Amino acid sequence: MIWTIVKKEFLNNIITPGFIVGLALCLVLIPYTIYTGIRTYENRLAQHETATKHADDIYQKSQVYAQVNPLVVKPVSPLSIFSKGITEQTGLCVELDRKEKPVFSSEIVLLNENPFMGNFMSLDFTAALTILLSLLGVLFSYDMLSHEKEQGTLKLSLSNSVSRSTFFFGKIAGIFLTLLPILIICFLIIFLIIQFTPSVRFSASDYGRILMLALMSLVYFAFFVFLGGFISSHTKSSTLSIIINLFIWCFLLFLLPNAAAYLGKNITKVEDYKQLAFNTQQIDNEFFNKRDEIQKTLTEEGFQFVGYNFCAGWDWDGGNMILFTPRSTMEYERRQKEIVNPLLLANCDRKWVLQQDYLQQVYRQEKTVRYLSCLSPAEIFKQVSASLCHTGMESEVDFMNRVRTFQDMYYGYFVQSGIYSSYAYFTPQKESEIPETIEEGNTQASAWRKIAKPESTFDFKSFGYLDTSALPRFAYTQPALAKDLQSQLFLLAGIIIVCILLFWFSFVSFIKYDVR
Amino acid sequence: MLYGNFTARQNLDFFAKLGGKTRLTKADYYALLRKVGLQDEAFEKKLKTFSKGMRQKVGLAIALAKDADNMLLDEPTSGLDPQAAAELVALLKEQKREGKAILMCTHDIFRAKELADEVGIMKQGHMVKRLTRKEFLEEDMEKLYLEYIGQHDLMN
Repeated sequence: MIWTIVKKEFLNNIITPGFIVGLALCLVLIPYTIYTGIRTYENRLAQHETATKHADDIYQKSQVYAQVNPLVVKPVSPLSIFSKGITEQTGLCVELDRKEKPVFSSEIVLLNENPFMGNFMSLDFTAALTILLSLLGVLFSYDMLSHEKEQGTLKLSLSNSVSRSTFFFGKIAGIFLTLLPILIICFLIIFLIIQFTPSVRFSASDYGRILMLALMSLVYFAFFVFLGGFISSHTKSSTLSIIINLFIWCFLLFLLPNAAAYLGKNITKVEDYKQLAFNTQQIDNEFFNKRDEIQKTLTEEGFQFVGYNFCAGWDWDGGNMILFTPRSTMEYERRQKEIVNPLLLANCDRKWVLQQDYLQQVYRQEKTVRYLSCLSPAEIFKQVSASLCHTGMESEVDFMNRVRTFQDMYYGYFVQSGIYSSYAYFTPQKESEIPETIEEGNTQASAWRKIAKPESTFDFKSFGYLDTSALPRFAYTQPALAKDLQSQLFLLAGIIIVCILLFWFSFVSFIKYDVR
Repeated sequence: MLYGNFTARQNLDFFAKLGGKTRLTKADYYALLRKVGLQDEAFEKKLKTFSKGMRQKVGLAIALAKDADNMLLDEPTSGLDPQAAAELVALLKEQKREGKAILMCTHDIFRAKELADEVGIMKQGHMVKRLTRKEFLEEDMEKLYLEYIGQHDLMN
């Protein structure tokens, strides 16, 4: 019996203008969003490769430890073709610096990227699905009962020995079955596009996430079907039902998320970043005072700075790469770096307390907006999808937390292994090769130029590169599916509970529905 | 009363199955549609293209398909042309001969007189007069009807 109703509902729906328009929109929007998603992914992949090469060069082509400030590169997930999430607002790389902990990742800006293009609408697969699924859900269900009542078929159907619950379940199942051809066609198109794109390859875990995304899509679709069913069972005409449905659809998809963002920003304020920069500057000023005192003490202790013969780069602890410079300056530099760098790391920790406070404010604001926008199923769908595709806020926060942990470990290693106390930290010359006077340094430099024939002033290849094999390396693995789901559990549970409630209310309303 | 996007045969199939007749074939549906006087070329046409008379015929075919002992008909001849109405009454007569009970509400006194064994006159939801076939054949039905619904002045 139920199959008869399911089949009728399916056949009746697939010839409606709603289905045809929905299918046509899917056939246009899905391939388009997947194609643009792939292009963006390939672009980011190219950026990732460039950044990774640069990061490797830092380890492989540095001549002193002071130059080895690692560049940490965030992996690009192929799942980002489905959801851009916050990838356009965040970057791929973080350049570590012992003076300050990174707050956000930075972007490598390609020269061919036009910054003014950000003004135009950009749609990804998830955003397209958010609109399409909800619209189809509404179009398939708004007249679920009211239209049957209008044309008298409800009366005729229920005059048979079919129970109201069987009729209701049959209609719901029929609506879900109607979505099936659209889903099959869409996934077939996606599969074909991906098959012909060698740069996109998914792992087994990625397929698990795609499956979760498909299930989430069904839950999201169900929400609008049950909502349509509920409204349909409370209205006597299909016209009134579609008006109410479309109003709620617009409210949930467009008005509520924007209102939530506006309200959230006003409820939870974030201090001005300039204020944070000013406060951290105060801490830096205290550091500079201490450093000046250290330099004074060093001179008093008999360490003499007689000038550099060659110094490439400058940092808060003195020269970065010093060559052909008299021993007294080199010893002064070594001692200064030995004392100043632990102080610099402590200074970095002090600033981090302020930065952390700022970050907490940013997180709190995001949470407020997120919880407010969770009144909209479209926002829940977007957030869960972004989380599943490694493009959500959790992914960025997790990455940055690991980067900061790595930074602590990396510079901690420099302290523990005495790198800051060594000559190798700032000169590629062996201790025994360091000249005693400026004149000797000059002679050494002239002799070196004749033998090494450098291509430029800063070409010191002949000194060889540093062996960095013992230095810590950053390795990042994306969080497991379970962890991502755990963070979205609250949202998932919320939308599923609302779906069940809507289903129950529409079912009860139909049971009590006056068919006369 | 029926699904406009479905053909006559699809409507018949759906409602027959809801009525528990799951083993009927396409040929059976066609036979039923022929029985109610629908032209063959209309069997696989969408109902939204049908006239009211054609729809009434499909509705009747559904009732026949269910093979119900009792039939409730609400204004079956309204909006039908004289020929279609005559065909419908002929079909109902056949059902009557086969022993089916038919309860029909209508404003068509002449068709009622032609078909009914018993006639009841309703006024504001209440039956105000009930007549057997013998009684109403002896009476002027139209006059009787107008008397009971309070418009007998018109007759004068």
